[in-house]
Amino acid sequence: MSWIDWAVFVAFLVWVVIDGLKRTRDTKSLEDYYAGGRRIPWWAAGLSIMATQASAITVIGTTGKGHEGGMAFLQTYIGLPVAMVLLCIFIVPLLRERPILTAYEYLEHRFGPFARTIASVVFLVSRCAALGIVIYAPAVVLSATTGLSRDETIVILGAVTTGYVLFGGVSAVVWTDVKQMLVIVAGLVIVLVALLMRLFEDLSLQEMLLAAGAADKLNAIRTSPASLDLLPSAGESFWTDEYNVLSGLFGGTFLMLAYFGCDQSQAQRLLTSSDANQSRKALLLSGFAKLPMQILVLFIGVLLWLFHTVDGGALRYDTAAFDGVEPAAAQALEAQFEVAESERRQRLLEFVAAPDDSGAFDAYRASVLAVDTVRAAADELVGDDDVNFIFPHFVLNELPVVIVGLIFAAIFAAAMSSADSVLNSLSAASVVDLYVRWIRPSARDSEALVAGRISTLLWGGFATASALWLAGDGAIIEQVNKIGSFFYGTLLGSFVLALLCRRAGETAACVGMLGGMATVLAVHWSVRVQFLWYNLIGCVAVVAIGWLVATIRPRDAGEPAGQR
Amino acid sequence: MRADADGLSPRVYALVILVAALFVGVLYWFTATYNHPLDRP
Repeated sequence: MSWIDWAVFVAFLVWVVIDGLKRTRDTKSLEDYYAGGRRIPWWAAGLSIMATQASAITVIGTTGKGHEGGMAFLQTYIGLPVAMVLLCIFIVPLLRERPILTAYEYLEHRFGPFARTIASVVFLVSRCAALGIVIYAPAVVLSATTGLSRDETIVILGAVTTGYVLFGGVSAVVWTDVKQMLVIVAGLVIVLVALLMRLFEDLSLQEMLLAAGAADKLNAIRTSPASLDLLPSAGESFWTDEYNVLSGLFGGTFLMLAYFGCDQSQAQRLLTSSDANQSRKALLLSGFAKLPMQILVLFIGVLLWLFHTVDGGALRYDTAAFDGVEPAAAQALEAQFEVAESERRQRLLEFVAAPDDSGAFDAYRASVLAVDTVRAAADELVGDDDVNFIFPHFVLNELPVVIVGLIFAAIFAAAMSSADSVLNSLSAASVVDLYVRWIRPSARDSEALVAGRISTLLWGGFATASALWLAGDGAIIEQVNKIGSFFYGTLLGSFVLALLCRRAGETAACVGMLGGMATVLAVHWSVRVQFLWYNLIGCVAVVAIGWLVATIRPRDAGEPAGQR
Repeated sequence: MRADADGLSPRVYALVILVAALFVGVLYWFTATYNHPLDRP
C-alpha cells in the first residue's frame, strides 16, 4: 500500500477510537455500559446488528465464495425475514418485559438461576472460542496484503477494539458500528462500480449475466436438493446438501432465530433502545437490509470471477501459497492454468457472441471446468484454498490509491465491528450473570461497572492472546469454536420451552438444555448433517426433553413462571 | 402503519413477509432465466 493509503487507513482508525472514547462520558452505570442507558435509537441499533454480523470474513470470504461457487450461499439468508418477524412477535416481549442486561436474565425470571447460568456459560464458552478467530482470520489476509506482520495486525486489531469498548461500553460499540457499517457499504459499492466499469470495456450487462449464468455462478435459488434421502447417514442425504431453498428456509430460519434472538452479542442490542417497539424496528431494519447486502457481496464475487476470466486471473491469489511446495509441481500447474485460462477467455467471447449456439455453450462450460480442475489441484497441492485472498488481491492490484486505503479500512472496520460486540457481550454475561449474580450480589453499581471494565480488558487480552496462539498452532480453538457454534439451537430451545410449556420449571429447562446439547453432539458424531440443521435439532431436542420432564415433574407452585 | 406499546401492527409483519416472498420470487426467476447448473470438481 502507498503512504496515502496508509494515511487514509490510520485516519479511519483514529476517528473510530476517538468516537468510541467520547462515549465514556455517557457511561456512568452498569445499565449505561451494557444497555447504553436504553437511549440508543432503533436505526443505530439495527445498523449495529448488521455490522456485528458483517465480519471481515463476511466481506472477504463471501466475495470469495461468490467467485468460486456463485450466489448459492444467499439461500442461507432466505429465512431471515421470517426469523425477524417471529423474534419481534415472540422473543422481544420476553426480553423487554423487565429492564434486564443479558438475554439469559429472562431465563432466571421464568425458570430459575441455574437455567440462566447454564445458558450464560454455554454462550461464554462458545463465543470466547470464536473471539480469537474473529480477530485471527482477517489478520491472516490483512498481513499478507498490507506488509504488516500477522502478530502486529492481531495486536493492533485487539488493542484498538478493546480500547474503545473498555471505556465506552455498548454505546461505543453501537456508534462505532454505525460508522463502520457506512465504511463497509461505501467500500463495497466502490468495488462494484470499479468492477462494472472495467467489465463494460469488454461485455454488456446482458453478456455478463449470460456468461456468469452459463458457468453456474447465478445459482441464487435451487429448489431441488442434491439428495432426497431423508434418512441421515454417514454418506450423502437431504441433510448434507448445504445450499438449497429448503435448508435455507427451515435450517436458516432457526439459525437466525438463535443467533439474533438468543446470542447475547446480538440480543444485547435489543436491550439498548427505549422500548420493545424500538427493538422490533431495529430487528426489521437489519432483516430487511441484510438480504440486499448479501446479494451485493456475492454479486461482487461473481463479477470478480468474470473480471478474472476476461482480464486474466491467477492460479493462486495468495502469493505466498507455493512457499515450501515442490517448485516443479507448482510450475507444472502454472503452465496448465495458463493454457486453460486462455482457452476459457476465448470460449467466453465466442459464447457471448453466439449465445444460442449449443456448441459454443458446451465448449465454454468445458473450459470453465478445466480451469476449476487446475485450481482444485493447486488447492490440493497447497493443502488449503485461497478464497479469502481473492477480494484483497483485486483491491491491491486493480484499484487506485486512496480507494485501496478506504477498502482496507472497510475490511478492518468489519473485523472490529464483530469483535467489539462479542467483547462487550462476553463482559456482560460474565459480570451480570456470574459475578454479580453469584459472587458479589451486594455489589454497588459503581463497583459492578469497574468489574465490567476489568472483564472487558481481560476478554480483550484473551481474544488477542488466543488469536496469537491460533497464528501458531491453535487447532484446539478451531475445534472448540466449531462445536460451540452447534449449541445456539439449545439456547433458542430454552426460550421456546419458556413460551410453549407453562408446566416447565427449572428442572425441565436445565435437563432440556443439557439433553439438547447431548443430542446435537450425538448427531454430530454419528451422522453427516450440515451445520444449518444443528440449530433446529438442538431447539427441538430441548423442547421435547423439557416437555417430557415437565410432564413427569411439573413446575412447583413456588417456582417462577414469568409474566408470559 | 400504526405502532403501539403492545407491538407493531400485524400489517407491518405481513408487509415484511410479502416483500421477502417477492424478493425470493424475483431471485427464482433470475436463476431460472440465466443459470445453468454445472458439476464442479
